[in-house]
Amino acid sequence: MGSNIITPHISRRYNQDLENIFNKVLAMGGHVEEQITRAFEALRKSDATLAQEVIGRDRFINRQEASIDEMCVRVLALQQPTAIDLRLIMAALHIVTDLERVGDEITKLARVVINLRDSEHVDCASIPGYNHLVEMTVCAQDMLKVTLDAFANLDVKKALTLLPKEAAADEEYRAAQKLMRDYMMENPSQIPSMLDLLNALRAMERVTDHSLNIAEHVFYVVEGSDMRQISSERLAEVVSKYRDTQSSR
Amino acid sequence: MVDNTNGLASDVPHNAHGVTVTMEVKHHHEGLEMPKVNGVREVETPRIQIRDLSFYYGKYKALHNISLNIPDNQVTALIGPSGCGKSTLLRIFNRIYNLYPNQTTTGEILLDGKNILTPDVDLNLLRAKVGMVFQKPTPFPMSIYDNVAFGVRLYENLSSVDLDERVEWALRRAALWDEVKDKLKQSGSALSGGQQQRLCIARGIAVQPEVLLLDEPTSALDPISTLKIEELVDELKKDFTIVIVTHNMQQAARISDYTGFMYLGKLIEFDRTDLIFTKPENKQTEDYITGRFG
Repeated sequence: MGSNIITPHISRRYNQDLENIFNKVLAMGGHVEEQITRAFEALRKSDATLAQEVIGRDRFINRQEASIDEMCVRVLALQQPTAIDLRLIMAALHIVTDLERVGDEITKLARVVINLRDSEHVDCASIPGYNHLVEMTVCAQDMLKVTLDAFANLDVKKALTLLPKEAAADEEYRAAQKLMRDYMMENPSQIPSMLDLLNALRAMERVTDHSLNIAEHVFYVVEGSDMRQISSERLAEVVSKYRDTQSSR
Repeated sequence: MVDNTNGLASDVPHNAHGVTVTMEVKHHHEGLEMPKVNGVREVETPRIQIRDLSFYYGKYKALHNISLNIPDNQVTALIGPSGCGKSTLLRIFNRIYNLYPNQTTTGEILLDGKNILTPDVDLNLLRAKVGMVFQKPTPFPMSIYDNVAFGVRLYENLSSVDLDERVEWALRRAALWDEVKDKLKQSGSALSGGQQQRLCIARGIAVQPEVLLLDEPTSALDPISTLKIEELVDELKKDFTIVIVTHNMQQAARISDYTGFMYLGKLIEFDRTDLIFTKPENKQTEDYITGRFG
């Protein structure tokens, strides 16, 4: 569990509980990754059936969140975790909230695929701005994968790589948003489908935000401090501390 | 920092309505904290200063070169596995160890700037300044009133009115007055275990010490009595500096401001209790408080 940072407990039951929570969060992350892969495929193939499937599977992710929440509450009440165990539980609680929201954002993308398919556009790719959405979705997919890897190995070095990625995604989002607004003003007839596309673009941008949140929770588990609260000097210190370490894979 | 309400980069926190809110976040990690040297956090106003203290049972060295400042008007908890030296350290603060032969110390402990380990220290006066409560309640075989008045009569010459007042004050501070005010002449040993322990605390504070040492004060008590003692400790720290030895880590977490972790006669780490229980710096501390000590 989490590289060598978390070593086994004297209590086997406590060990088992913590490991179950850790593994369930990873499994939930895996499902969310599958969802974004499917939604992306639906977008590229303008496949409304596949998009519908993605929307249907979101309920499963919601159930996973509820089940992990319950497990965490039980461990908090029965084991009164401290130090790294406490930080792990707190991170798990936050991460599943982020993952559940990522699931919701993915269903928004899937819904847009259905909307576009239902409108006069037979092929999503024919809509202006489509390329920006594809790029943003690739970016979201990549950040989600990296952040889940970082959690699986409690790898701060990898978690820190999310910072520049998220800033770049923000910039990309703003640039695309501006281009699409300009296009809408010039082509008012395209406004309904452009709004759909903008919604999907926004949803994927939110996935990058949640991915960064998850990276911040990884940072908290290992470093014991809140990445958003520490000073830039202290953050630079941590970055340089991990610069020479070997990242997982 | 990402503001999750709009996805835009922002340094100003907003609430759900987009109104700027000010947050009081203590940045303990950013230099406002007292420094930590060799795993031991400095404190702003020390009451007891321990300097390079070692303790020997005959030739066996039970405490190894401990240096530590115990903060004034705070609760300091000492934790660690059996035999780690935490009770031994507590027993040096009022030199109870002097009751036994072949037990010696090196180094110094300063209380109000004076080394209490020198031979010229008046042990009776020291023990009036540094009171102690033990694991098992130890009421004297006398009335509740006399239990509390006993120490006062030794050190002070009070009129009976003043003595009555002092006894009431101590019993009130020990949160026992309401339960015993109508039976002060009854024997102390007729009280329940939890009441007996509060009686011992009343006896300890009646002489108005500076420091109160508690050695596993609740390990023989039921959960409700334990909570009463814990509540009392929190109340008493306004007037006294309290050092508590406990095996119950949740208790240390609940009631102490500072925690020292000891292992094999050494002080491994000393820090604010919230930091010890969320982000200890030492691996041994972490292993012990999380239950990984093999």
